[in-house]
Amino acid sequence: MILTVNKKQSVEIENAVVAQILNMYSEEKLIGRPIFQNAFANDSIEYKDLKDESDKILIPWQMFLLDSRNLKKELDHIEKMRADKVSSKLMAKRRGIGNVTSKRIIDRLIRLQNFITATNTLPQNAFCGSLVGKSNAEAVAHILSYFEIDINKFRGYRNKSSALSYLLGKVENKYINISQGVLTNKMLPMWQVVDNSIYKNTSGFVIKDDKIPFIFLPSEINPDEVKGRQIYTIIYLIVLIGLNEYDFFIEKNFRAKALSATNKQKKIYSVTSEVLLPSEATEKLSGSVITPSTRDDLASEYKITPTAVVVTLRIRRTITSQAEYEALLPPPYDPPKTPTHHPRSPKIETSVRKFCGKYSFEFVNAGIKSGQLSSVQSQYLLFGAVNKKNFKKYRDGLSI
Amino acid sequence: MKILDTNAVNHILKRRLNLDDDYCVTDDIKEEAEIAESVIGTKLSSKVELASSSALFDRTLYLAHYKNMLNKHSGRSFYNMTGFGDISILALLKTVEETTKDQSQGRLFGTDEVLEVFTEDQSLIKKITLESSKTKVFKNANIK
Repeated sequence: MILTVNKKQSVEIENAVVAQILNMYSEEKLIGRPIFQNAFANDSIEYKDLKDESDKILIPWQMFLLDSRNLKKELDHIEKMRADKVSSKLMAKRRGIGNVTSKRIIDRLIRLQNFITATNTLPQNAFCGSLVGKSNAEAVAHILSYFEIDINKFRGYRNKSSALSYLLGKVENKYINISQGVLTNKMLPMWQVVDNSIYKNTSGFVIKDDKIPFIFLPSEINPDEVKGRQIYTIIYLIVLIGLNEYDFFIEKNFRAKALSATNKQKKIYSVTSEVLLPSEATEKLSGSVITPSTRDDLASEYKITPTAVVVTLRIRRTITSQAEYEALLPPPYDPPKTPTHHPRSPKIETSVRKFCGKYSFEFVNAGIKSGQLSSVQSQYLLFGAVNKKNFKKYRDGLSI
Repeated sequence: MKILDTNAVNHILKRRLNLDDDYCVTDDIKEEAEIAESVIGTKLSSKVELASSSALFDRTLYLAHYKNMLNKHSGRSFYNMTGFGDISILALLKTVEETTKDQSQGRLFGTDEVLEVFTEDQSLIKKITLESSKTKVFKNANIK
């Protein structure tokens, strides 16, 4: 197709290149956007439209000017980064089997992680691989002591939201960057661009690094991610880092996977459950009738979901029959179809801090302050694209 | 026509130079330098204009050269979003050269169309030498 400026022909850009770029994140169906549909139909696109549209879909406009050979190099580089940093199983997931992890989110986080490691001298993270060879009990003790988690304080919080905040703070203090899915402030290409539900099946996962591993919590982008589930996800992902087992992630079908887990996966679930709901608490229940009230009390006290309680009790044979197990499973969580209230959009710096995580936020801000980062680089790291309006608000909000 | 690279813009800002001559920057350089203005706490002199703001700037031609330079030269990264300033300078040089082949089309800036680039970037200097034999490259200390 021809790139035009005020309807005057400028240069040809390859249709195949445009299509390949728009299919980089195929689940987002960017190729169906009216601007591009018209471009293919008319065999031309206006430069201003391409630039404006690129800002909306968070892909640099310059990329569309690449020829096939150079685009292949770029895409191969991105693929290599993904292959080095995340589980091949995670990348292989496809629509129709429940788990579709957004490659856009993965790419954004890898870019942040690469920026941190390339521009800072960080020591090896002592937690990486530190659970290898440890018994379950030793692994639990190590996790609690390493992250300085006061488990009684954690359980003593009145609600799971406060317990989650406590846990997030403890883990983040030890050079593990926790990134959370956010739906606000255009951190992802949404709002009249991509349907929110595109990201909802993204699982919790880890981006490998021996200095600053990244954890991704779906949070807002997955309506099933209630606080108790997020707590479980954090511990599960920490266990992966500690065991150097990056080929696992939190499956959407948690119940079935936890119950059928064998070998390494069984170990991961066992350690995770033991941290949150210790065997000594469930052994006391052996032989007694477990009621929904018992289940909910345990979920409340140990800050996990009622489902996680029932699954754990079933794995530990505290719940002995399948019928009892099924009767105790709570009905699937049904998030409200329409929000009961419309919270105000948080400040841009709050959304960035949440999506990028503590260390990304701090290191990028330091790069901006020192002048080490250019304006364009900073915006791509923070927002995934040039967004001058948000960047100004961001810098004003933080006085940088 | 005196063109500034990013490091030349930073040189001006850091020294808070009062410029005698007229200079220009590309859109990419202007965008890349925005943080520098804020960090250093001073605005770029009005003696520095956007090349694309000239009525004689031909964006159709510029984008064609931009595409060519983008695909021809290494050193830019979509992953880190770096190196596009260099591409934009090369594209601007090519555009001006082509535009001024026919003198009747007028000039972009200034009274002559001698092309001068101010930069300390060795990689960019090599590319300029390769692409535009007419262009003279100066170190930032020559900015006045």
